[in-house]
Amino acid sequence: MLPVLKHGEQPVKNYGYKAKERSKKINQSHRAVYCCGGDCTGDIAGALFDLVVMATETDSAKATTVYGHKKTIKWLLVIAVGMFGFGFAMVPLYNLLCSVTGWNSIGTNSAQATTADISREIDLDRTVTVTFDGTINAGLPWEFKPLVRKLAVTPGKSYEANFYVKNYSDREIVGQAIPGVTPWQGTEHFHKTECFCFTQQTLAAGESRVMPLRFTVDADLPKDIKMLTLSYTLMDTDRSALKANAGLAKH
Amino acid sequence: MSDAITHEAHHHGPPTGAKRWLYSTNHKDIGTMYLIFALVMLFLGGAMAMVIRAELWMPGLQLVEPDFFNNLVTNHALIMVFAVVMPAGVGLANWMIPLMIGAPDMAMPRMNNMSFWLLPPAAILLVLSMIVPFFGGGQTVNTGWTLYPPLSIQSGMGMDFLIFTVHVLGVSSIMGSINIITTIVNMRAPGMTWMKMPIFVWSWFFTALLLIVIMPVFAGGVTMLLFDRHFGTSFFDAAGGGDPVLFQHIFWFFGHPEVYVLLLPSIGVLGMIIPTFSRKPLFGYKSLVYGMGVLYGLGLIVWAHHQYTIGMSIETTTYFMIGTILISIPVGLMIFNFIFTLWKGSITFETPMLFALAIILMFSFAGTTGVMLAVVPADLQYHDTYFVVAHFHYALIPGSLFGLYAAVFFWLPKWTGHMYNERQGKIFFWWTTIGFNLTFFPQHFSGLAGMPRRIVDYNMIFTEFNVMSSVGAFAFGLSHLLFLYIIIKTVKGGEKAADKPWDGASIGYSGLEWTVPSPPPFHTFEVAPEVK
Repeated sequence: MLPVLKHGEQPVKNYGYKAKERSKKINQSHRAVYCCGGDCTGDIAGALFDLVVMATETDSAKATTVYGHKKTIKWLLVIAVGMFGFGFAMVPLYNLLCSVTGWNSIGTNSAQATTADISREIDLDRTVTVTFDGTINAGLPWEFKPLVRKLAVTPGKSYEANFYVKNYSDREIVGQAIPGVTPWQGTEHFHKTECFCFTQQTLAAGESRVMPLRFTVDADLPKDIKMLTLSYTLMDTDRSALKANAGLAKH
Repeated sequence: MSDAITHEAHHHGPPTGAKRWLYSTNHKDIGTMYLIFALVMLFLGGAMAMVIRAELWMPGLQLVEPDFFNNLVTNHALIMVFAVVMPAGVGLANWMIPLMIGAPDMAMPRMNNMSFWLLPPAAILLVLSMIVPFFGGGQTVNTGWTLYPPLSIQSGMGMDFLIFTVHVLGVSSIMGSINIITTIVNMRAPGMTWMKMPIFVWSWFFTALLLIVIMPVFAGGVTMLLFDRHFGTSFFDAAGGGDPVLFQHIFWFFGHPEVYVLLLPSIGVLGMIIPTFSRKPLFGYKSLVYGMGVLYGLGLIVWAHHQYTIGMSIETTTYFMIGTILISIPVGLMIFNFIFTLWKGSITFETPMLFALAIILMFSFAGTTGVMLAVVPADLQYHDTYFVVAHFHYALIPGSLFGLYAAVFFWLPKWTGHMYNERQGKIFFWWTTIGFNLTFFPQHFSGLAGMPRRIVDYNMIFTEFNVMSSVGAFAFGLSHLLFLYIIIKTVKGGEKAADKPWDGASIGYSGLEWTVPSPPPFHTFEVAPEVK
């Protein structure tokens, strides 16, 4: 039998649950760590050895692994790696949650409505004011504005509103309009049957265009909503202007 | 195992020269390096705060450009959180946990070495992120520490350095946390049962567990940011179907529990200091442990109270509001535990105790403003004002930084073998506490009056409050030179400290750190001690 630490030779007092096993474990821990704590040097290889070898079950690990550490480290590594994955899993989870509940969702806002989606009911008793708003995202040298600012809308009827856009730069730029409805509770009742936001807009240098929007606000819109704002932000799809602005341009 | 046995015979002191530190696998040396690193970075982050306060001395632009000002605000926060409070906490854990639980070293001493030596490169990356804009690196990092897109996607090269800083720091703290938990779980001396562990060890157990859960999420978030910036993905870019608000959720999923990462070690330190100088056992040890567990759980599910203004539904904001207010229950419990420990105690007012008492008072104040901020309709008013700045500085400076100062004064005799000068310690306490309050108390008022945070210029009506803040900040900053002097003087010499320098230190307490000499020998507990 191998020689053991001094106090290992003494009878172990009963400390309750699994005392004997615990005492054995402690002895081994002390021995193995003392070996390294005193005599080996810390470097990257040693650090990786500590982490990887202790967490896996190789023969060399069995020879050097301190009893009990392996299991703990394994679990902690699983948690760390799992949470890194969870960070990325938040992307689809967030989109899923938003599309189910209707919060914040670009997906629900940008979808094209078919006639099947819209109830045929027309609510002649109320009028909802729809206001339009167009914003240029930072760095895009375009002009973008609604040609109608406000419309009094009867729920259930179809309306049209146009937006004007002009590219002031000396090159072709592809833009994409991202819609949002405020208050967000109105999102699922705001149906766009035709919208320039369904596709990207390619504008040559100096080109201007009037872009169409056709929509229906359905009669199921909660009664307390008297006003809806449809807001578009026009984005530069390859972010070239934005990057040039930040000094990141590659050309 | 035979190798291990042969080494048993070697009894030697520490290696000499630079190698002792570069290749160190000794928990005490590594703990010392962590603490020194934190102290150096404290002066760097503090210097930034001084520039910020000098700029805000008067309305109008005085010293720095607006973009650089925002860069200072960003890096001041990142340095204080990631390079001061966290490393200092890990330094205390390295030094004290093995001594308290009777372990000969950390579970993975070589990994411990790597955890520390990742920090200096991270600090260099962080400083580079400030410097590159001056050498054609594009726009400065002017986002604030939250790094929100789309602004962070538009920032220049400095942002990439910052992202890599976060990666390196993340790896370092995850490895450190794995090490600490493994040590606590497997290396307690015989008889040191879970419920006998010193409260400081418990606090670090929860802190490390929290870090392992949140740091990888943040690392994932900034990785997505990096991809959005350079590889054409659109995680947070609305033009490609992404959503900038998603980053806020990822950030605060990390960022809110991070507050408890900063706070819990100091709660643990309070749990050591208050019983010592009250000469009574800690009141409600078990409830304090369970309270930290509840804080851990609640802390992970209330993150969106930082984002009430993003347009969430009433139901969602209500949930986050209630969850946030619930947090005051375990935190209040901790405060009451400390007050009941003081009750009818035989109290003396040494420097660590002065800090501890001041923390109870000032941290409770932060708790009060915290409940105000948790209430949605009120928060919409306070959001992004100096009221928030005052709130979190009251939470983080007393709640974590003063806890670290208290720990330094409490354990300096153990670490160095010398007593610090009590008179100088007390002068430092009063100087720094008064300076701190003068700095941040007026900010409540300027915030309630509507002064927004993270701005370089402000309306004339806020001038008086800002002058007060700046005067206080300079006093607060200057007091740290005395702190540095006290530490250096104590390391160099002074009255010899006993093995147990505080007579009340082991009343109703099973920790083993007072059983070893002051300063402890290079190797301690080569033979496992027994806890009765």
